[in-house]
Amino acid sequence: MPDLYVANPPPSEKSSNSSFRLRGALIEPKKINFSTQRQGEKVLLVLRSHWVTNLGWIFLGIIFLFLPLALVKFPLIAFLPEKYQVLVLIGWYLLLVAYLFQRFLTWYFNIGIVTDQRVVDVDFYGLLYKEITDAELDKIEDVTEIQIGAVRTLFNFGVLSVQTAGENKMIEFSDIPNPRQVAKLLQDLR
Amino acid sequence: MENFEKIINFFLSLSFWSVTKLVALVAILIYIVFTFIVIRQVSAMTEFITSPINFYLKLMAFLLFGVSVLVFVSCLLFI
Repeated sequence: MPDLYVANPPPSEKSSNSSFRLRGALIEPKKINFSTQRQGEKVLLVLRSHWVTNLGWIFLGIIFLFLPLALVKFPLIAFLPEKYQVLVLIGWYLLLVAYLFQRFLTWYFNIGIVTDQRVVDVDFYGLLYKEITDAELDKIEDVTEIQIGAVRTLFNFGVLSVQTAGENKMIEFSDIPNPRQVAKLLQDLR
Repeated sequence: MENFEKIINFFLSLSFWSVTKLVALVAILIYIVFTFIVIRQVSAMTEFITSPINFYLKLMAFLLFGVSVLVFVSCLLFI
């Protein structure tokens, strides 16, 4: 049995909200459902990009958060009246919050779902593009894991490509943790 | 021709700071439209996937919209 997925985990491994985490993937989450879920269909795995992929924008956010402090040393907007200086600062933080919120939403809702019947890939690109692809487990022909680069090897995340026989030939889960274990689980399920 | 002159005179009579205020108001208005799109998008996302933090995400989207409207009104009245 793959060590990523355990059908009936012992109660000690479960967290208080009846779902538990194991190496970056949500396994059998009780509180996560999706709108096209069939009656009786059980969500086995919810896969998001590895948390390391968020470090770039979080780091940028922290820098931009404190960047206005540099105005004390370099008074670039000192020529503006006081009210306009306040407006510039408010505008700066509004843009920053919008950027961080947008990045979080993109990470949080770009997920791969493995159920006991199919795999579903949910992609939200930016604000205006949504793509939802699904394939039945018995239509899965080939599962390929791709792990390139030192960071991916170090933190053990990568791309998982699922080749299917259906209309949507390829489903791709980007930067998911433990792609090998997820690939093994899919091979066992089909 | 007279109307055209009136328009030209109107723009010539505007001070630098009035134009700046107008530009700021337009920028905030664009931001308000953006936050409205964010609300719609968060609704679409949370409709598709039910998760424990959906409420907080919606709240955040509405807060962003509310704050941007507040900034617009403040800019209109106090600057």
